[in-house]
Amino acid sequence: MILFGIPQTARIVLLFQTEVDTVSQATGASCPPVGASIPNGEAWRWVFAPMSERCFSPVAVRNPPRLSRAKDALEQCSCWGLSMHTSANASIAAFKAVEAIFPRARKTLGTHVAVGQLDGTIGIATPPDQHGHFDLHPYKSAPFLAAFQTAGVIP
Amino acid sequence: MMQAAVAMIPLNGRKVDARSVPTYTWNADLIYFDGPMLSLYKQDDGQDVLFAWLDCDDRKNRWSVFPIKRDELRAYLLGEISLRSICLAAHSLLVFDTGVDCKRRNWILLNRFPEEYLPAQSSFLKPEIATASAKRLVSDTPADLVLGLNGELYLEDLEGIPKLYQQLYSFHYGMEHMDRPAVKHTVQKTMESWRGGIGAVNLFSGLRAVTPSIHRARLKELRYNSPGVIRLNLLPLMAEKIQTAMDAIIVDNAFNAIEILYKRIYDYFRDHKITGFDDEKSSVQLDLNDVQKKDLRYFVDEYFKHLGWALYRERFSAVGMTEISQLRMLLAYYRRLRNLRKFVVAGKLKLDGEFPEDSGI
Repeated sequence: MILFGIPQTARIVLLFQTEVDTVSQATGASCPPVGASIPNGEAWRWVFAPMSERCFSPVAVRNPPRLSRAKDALEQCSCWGLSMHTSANASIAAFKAVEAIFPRARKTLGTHVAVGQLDGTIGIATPPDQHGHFDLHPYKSAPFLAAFQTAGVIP
Repeated sequence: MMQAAVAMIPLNGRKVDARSVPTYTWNADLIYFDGPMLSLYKQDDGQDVLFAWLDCDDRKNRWSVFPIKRDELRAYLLGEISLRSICLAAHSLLVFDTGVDCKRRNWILLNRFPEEYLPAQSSFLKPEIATASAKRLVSDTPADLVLGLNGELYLEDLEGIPKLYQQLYSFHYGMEHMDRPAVKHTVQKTMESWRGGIGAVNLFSGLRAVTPSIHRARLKELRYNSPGVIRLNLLPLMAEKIQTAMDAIIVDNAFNAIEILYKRIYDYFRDHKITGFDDEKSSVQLDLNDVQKKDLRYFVDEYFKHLGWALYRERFSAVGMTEISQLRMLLAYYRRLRNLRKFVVAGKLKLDGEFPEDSGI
């Protein structure tokens, strides 16, 4: 089992720990990546309405998974993470830029934005990039539906 | 797909037998949110293509595959042109579906991009959605380099020089871009299945397959009237690395020293029944004892010292490469460098510019 940035006593099993460990072994790189740690703060995610647990399923286990290579689930750590942003503005700006390229984006990514407060019960997050995007690798018992509320339709 | 199923639009195109579809090698994901949406692949003929997600229903995802030229790719990655313009200019468009198992099925050839899927006028690759890999691809800027040719050359020389140079270029490309997952996977896979000469060839061809056109050495001019030139547009850092390696072995004393080391390693491999040279086809011996591992580590260190590659030592180790894998890569590289050196020593090749006009035969 590979976890990072967490005291030994606080270690909790990731939702897809076995799969994540397989990726680590196959690639020789840590999954979740080195630098990932317990998040603390607001997170915004694209979801559907009504929001359900499926809105928080990593792409590798969705049915059907949006992967163009079967190997992705074995080699790509991010397939087991959830895309999120640190602010509503960052989340909506990214969605608009994606939708300009993929007219059907709302069919796969979501129609609404939801906001949640991340803490040590949810999972492990990569550091946000300069545009506020990060991947969250959820814990097995992550209470997403309690932590996130739909904030509105993506304009 | 997580919403209630919304049907995908029907496509009016020609069905394509999957067996006639080219092989595609993944190079990088350019847009990635909860999975890839736009990815760069290389076709088996060397052509760059984009895989773009189009649509989905409750059973499958639909993707498009279309070619992208070198200049278009660079301009798109720099945010200078839209994906719409590339889609409209594409001379072919393949569409396929993926289901639960992610296998590519239902290939269809279309004459033009369906209006419903055409990106907007504003479909530029904005920084907030470009992956780190996409940004990395344009962080290196190609430049022109001239290889000087001179003396009595034969057809096999004209084949050998570019091939050797390209292989050395691919090696350095791999070393310098090990942070790109596609490059790292290629190196790791080749090392895991190394079988003598096959492994060496797979390494160089594998690295070439994950080098996008904007990073490949592109021929701009080929002129020979003794002297002559091969003018290339390539990443200058790779050319510098080749030059540095050549400088390290060009003088006879230095060359003799590294040749002695090479022979020592070869003898050691033979004495300890360790395989994996170009002229061997047998499987790899992996059960090395501690003394052997220590000896191999010494050889690796010596080789790195001769070639001045302290940084590569770290990168080799970072991808979990064993000493024997490192040695195999180094020796495969060295054999090609040594062959290229013959042309330089014979006054037939200059790695840093043209020969003077009056030096011809």
